[in-house]
Amino acid sequence: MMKALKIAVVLVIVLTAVFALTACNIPDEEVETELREAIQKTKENGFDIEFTYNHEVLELYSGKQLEKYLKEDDGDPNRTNWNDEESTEWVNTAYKYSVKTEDGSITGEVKITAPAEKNEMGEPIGSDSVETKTYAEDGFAGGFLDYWFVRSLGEESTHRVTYQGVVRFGRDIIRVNIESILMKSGEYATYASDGSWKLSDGTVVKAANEEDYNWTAAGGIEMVEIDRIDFTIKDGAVSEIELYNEHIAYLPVDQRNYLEGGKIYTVEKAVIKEKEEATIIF
Amino acid sequence: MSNTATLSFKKKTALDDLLDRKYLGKKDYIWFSLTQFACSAITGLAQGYLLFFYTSIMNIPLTYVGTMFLIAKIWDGVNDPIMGVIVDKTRSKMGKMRPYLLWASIPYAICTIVMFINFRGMNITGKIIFMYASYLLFSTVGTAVEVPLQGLPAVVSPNIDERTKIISISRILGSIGEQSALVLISLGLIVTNDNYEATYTGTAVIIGVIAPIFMVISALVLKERIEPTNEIPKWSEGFKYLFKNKPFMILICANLLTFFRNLVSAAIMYVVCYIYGNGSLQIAFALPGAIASMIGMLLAPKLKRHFNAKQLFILATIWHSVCLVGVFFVGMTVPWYVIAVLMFFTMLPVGLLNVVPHLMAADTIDYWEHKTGQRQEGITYSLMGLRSKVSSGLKDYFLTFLLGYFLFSQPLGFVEGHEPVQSSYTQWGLFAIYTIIPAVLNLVSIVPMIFYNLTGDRIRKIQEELAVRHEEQRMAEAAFAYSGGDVEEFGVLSKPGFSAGAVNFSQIKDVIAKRRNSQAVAEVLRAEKAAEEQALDAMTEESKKAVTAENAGEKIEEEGK
Repeated sequence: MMKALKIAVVLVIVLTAVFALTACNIPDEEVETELREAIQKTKENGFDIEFTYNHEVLELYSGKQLEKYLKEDDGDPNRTNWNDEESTEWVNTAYKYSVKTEDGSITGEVKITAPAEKNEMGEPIGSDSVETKTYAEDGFAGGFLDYWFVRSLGEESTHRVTYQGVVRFGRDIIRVNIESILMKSGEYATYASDGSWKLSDGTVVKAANEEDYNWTAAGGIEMVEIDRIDFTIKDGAVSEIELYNEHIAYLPVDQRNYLEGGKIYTVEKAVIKEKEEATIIF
Repeated sequence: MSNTATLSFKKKTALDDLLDRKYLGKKDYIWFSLTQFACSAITGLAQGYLLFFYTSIMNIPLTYVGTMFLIAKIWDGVNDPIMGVIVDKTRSKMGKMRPYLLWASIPYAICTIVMFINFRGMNITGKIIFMYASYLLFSTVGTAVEVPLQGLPAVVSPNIDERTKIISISRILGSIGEQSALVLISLGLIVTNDNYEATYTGTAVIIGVIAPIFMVISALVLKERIEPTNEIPKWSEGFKYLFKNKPFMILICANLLTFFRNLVSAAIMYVVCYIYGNGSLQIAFALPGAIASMIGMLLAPKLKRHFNAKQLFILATIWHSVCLVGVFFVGMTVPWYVIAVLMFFTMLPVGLLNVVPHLMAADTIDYWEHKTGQRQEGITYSLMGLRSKVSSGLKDYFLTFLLGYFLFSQPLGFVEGHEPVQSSYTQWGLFAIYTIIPAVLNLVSIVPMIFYNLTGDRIRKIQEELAVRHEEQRMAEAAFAYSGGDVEEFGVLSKPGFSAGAVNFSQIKDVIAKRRNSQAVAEVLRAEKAAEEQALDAMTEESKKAVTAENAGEKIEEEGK
């Protein structure tokens, strides 16, 4: 009897734990609807907020790189190496938004601070520029927030959206992962039902279940965009958005051949070319 | 007993000669300790860094990694006793342990290196298959090395002092070896400018090349001098023993639950990489903790004088948890060195918690011997070892679950050296895995410990009574030798039957009694003969005196006439 009781107690504890952990996830089929409704409610509730969106781009200063490589004799000095920290730099353009809702629409302005341009030696030419634009003309289709709201909802052929919805400490977090592939030709690859990415002529740029892309297919991939947006939902409305995106390009970098005395040769590899981040609290 | 105790040992017995003799030279101590160092370096690398390698370098989905670790540790639990039986049945010119150390060490090192290679161009399915195949192979070959290695001290010398010495020295070297991966990886990250893949593979190559050298030399230098008296227990017997020996079962349960505590060290790499953004900092977080833990180990015997093992376990657990809660509330926004310093004090009780269960295990062995007359050291330490492996598996599985729970973003496999920026919620979660989660869950291990009752007067009384029994046994052994028995015969009689390590004491006593009876008869006969001779001598003296006196009287009479 005592043994049966002990087994029952253990089973109850295990089942409770399993149930509790299952309850920590929002069912897959409900995630998109919940996000759509939360965005709608956020607009209806109205907001007046300020936030900064940072857009960083990796710049390479060819003159500075050449000057450096001319002093070394283990590779072609005229090569291009996007992995060299001394002759590359992350250049940030800051978008400072001040937006609010008016009659259910988002309005406001954005102050864009761009760093001074630099020459091939990495020396600044002129000074930082500050430009103020209206929300609707900020460079994003329909304005920054609307662009990301639309992009995060539903799947389009040119970008693939996957959701992960969880309940954590009394709030819902919906993570939206967006993947898109822009070709050098300007065409976007489309996500096929078999899990591969294809161009309109049928060229496969990423095979199903493969981790890497076919970077050189059909003239080459210009950029793979991997976006991650976390929506925190409280009382049915979005309370916070945390956005972090990386855009990856196929660029020449150094590779050392240890079998040939450590001589450097150039290969093309996937390199992060752009980064975007913003935290928006409603 | 008293009869036996009153025997005077005028001659040194053969058994005592055997036990006092020195067998091990300096090279034995050096090579065995270096082998332990090498073996610990491999296990330290695998246990401390493989999870991070799979999740953050090979980019294998968390759920697959967690499940694999769980399955592998269950397999470990099964293959350990199997290897024990294989070793026990082995008979070769080299002995039963050394052949495995000699032949399995190189495959073990190769498995270690291969396991830390990220084969590029492999799709996710291929990576998962590779992970399962390489880790299970590593685990199996590792068992073939580790089981004989742990058993080696028991057979290299019959001298107990020498065995204790070689185990103590090798354990110190072993604990240093465990930290070698930490040092190599920290240096590697600095040299390669935070290239994790090159650093991890490079560290595995360095350890994988050096380790088998020590193991092979050790296998060739050391000698197996005695047949081990302890048979490896059957697996089924082990579980029966676990359920029958209640204090031991409580200890195992409490100790099993301490796997939550291991989250702290397992989370360090994630904390330094994704919160502080600098993998090289791991040495600043891990090394003070390791030193603090060693200090805790050294303090354990002193604290044992003031507290019993149960109290130490509970106090150390609470101390550790309170400190972790404190670190959590200090927060992750303070400079990293503040957290590193605080973690030093947090890890001090961990040293105690590493030692105390072994002290308690020894108490449960005494308890069982007191209750049944059988000492079950083999089963006890085999189950303690199994507990350690299961704990490690649970820790890895739970860590992968928590990483998923806190929405950990894994690196993009196609971008070399990719370090994804984690969301603020994930960063908070990683800090919680490092601090408050183990702090709270670790307290659960106190619950079974509340029912542990081998403390105070109870265990003292048991140990006093056992001391008397052991003295009886020791005297019986000595008496056995005194009464004409030789060491080989004693060995045959004391060979374990059902229980490993238990001496067949009653049988020995019978033999001693018979021998002592026959000896006593001889003694009586000798005594009677001596008495007769003495009496005869006495009679002769008296008769001589009488004859002399008679003669003298006759002479006087004649002179008077």
